Amino acid sequence: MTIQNTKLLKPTIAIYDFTDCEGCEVQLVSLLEDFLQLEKRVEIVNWRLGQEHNHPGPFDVCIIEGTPITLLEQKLLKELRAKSKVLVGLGACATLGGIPAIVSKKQRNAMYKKIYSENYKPRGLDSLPLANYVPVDYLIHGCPADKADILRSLTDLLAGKMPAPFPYPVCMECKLKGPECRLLNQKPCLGPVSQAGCDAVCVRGGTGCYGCRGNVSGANWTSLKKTLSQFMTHDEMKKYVSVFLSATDEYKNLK
Amino acid sequence: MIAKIEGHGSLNINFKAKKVELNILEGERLFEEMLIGKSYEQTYWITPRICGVCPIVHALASVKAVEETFRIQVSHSSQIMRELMMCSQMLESHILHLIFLSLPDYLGMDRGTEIYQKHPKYFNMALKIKKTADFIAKAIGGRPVHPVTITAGGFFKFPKIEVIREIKIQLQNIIDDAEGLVNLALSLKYPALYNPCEYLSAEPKLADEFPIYSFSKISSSRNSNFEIKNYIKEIKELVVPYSTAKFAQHFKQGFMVGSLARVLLFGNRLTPLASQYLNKINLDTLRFNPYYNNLAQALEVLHYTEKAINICDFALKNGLEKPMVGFKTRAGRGVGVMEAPRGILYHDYTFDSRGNATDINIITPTVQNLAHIEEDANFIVEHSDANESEIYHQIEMLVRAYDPCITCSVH
Repeated sequence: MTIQNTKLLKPTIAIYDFTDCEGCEVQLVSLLEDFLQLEKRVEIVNWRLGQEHNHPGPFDVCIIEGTPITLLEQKLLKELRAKSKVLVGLGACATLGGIPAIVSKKQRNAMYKKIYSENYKPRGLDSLPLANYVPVDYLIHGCPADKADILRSLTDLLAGKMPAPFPYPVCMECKLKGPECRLLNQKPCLGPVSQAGCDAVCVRGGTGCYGCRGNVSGANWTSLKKTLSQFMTHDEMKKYVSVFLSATDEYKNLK
Repeated sequence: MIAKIEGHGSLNINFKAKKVELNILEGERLFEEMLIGKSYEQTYWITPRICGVCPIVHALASVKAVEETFRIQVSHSSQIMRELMMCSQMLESHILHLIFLSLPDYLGMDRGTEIYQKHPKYFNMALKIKKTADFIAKAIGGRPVHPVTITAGGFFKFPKIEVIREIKIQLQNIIDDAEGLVNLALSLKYPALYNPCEYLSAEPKLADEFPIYSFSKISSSRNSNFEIKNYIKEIKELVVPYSTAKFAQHFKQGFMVGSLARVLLFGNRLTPLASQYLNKINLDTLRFNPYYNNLAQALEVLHYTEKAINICDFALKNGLEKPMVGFKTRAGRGVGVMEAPRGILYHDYTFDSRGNATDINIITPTVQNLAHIEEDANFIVEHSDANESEIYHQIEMLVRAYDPCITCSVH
């Protein structure tokens, strides 16, 4: 007779942060009670921001926030990929390169000299999304990632299914919420090409959508560029798109 | 790697030479150069992303630099709504640090969420304060991390007056928790340390006001006050080989900014309830012992809760004017200074006539604290007779007490 313990082992989770602002981790902590409920169902075995004693892995799920700018981070990313069943990118720095990607590899050297000194030995190499280095299983978009979206994604993952990206653009949620269309008012906005899931929080607050959640599938950039060019110069458009999308083909195609 | 601090840093302690190096390992994001050529609206959109723990204060320092350059005077309503946001910023950042990052040190546990199991009372206290802070930040800024309503000239929009009423109710409901937090902080045993240093804080424009939003100069505990615009001559940033953050000095020495500095310099301006607690403390005990930064943060949580209630009262009584004033871009320089949760924050911008940035300098509080953290750590290694692992732990705890924001420091 075999004695079988039917109690399931909790999935192990690791949370890592590369170079970034850590705002998405703040969002994670801000889930508060929901986060604690989640914590009961998983074992957080590695989280530098939250605890001192950390386990080296392997992990069932590894969540990575930030851009792997330094060589150490890039090496660590490859190790983490190898020892994680599911690798999740959290927030625009991880999913798109985000704000750090505004600075291109080519520009870095001159900038180091100006900000630090002639002889400064930099650590940073380049700021690109995780997927430029390793295969990533799922991306939780946003700058910062949206709390409801984090919860939805993690709940799906714990249920053993891969969460699905939002199939419609920010405009859809914006229309439901009711602010006036910025594009009709000749104000810049990337809502039509950007993935929803944020409830158009920026547009509702008065700022245009900068596209921090990445492309929606079937994004029609050609049309949007035509619309934007009615009231923006090419240079202004480039500057606007560069905020979160510098590492994307859409930005490179603007040149 | 030092756990439970905001960002990546590690300690390199040479016990033989009695020398500590604080290695800052965060990758360089190069914000100051990244912003060159960007339009003024993008400066206060991009710079909050320096730090996800204190994005509100970066947004405010940034928009103040822009407004100073363009000579914009925001409405009084905009000013008090920004002050209310600042209260929420202080509450949010201090609670995260005190309860989840620092308190485990004093209670001998590993992680903040353990407090949930072992001290549910403290945890719930923290949770309530944090929720209220997030509610305020969301009501005014659109969301807690990276606000979306701030613009040069004021705000795109204000919350409805009913929302201010709701904010006030929530704040009144956390007064007991804020007091509980102060009592908790008073009950902790702080390690002994006496290492004199200079304290700097931005001095409020109003003579009886504790630091919040409007400042006239930089105040020094050594009577070496200076004009805000002269910060660049006074504060020297050094590049050290083992750190991607610069180490700032004043008079070729480290100095301290943040809660403890503010309480030591302007403690007589705290709100009534916070003052009652301060009066129970001998300020000379706090002076020159950075571990007490944690106690000062708790006092500030109570102060900013009371202050926020006063702001709500004012808004409820007088209503809110229109959120935005018109303006034109113009060439020039503006220095936006704020007291961030961790201390003085400078955003110094120069724009061309179309409002595109031509020169940017940002000095964060942690850059200003790093040199003195190292000085304190060296002092401990030199003078402590504890064993190496105890010393290591004590220095880790010291670093955490300063509440360093490494991501801010490498911007």
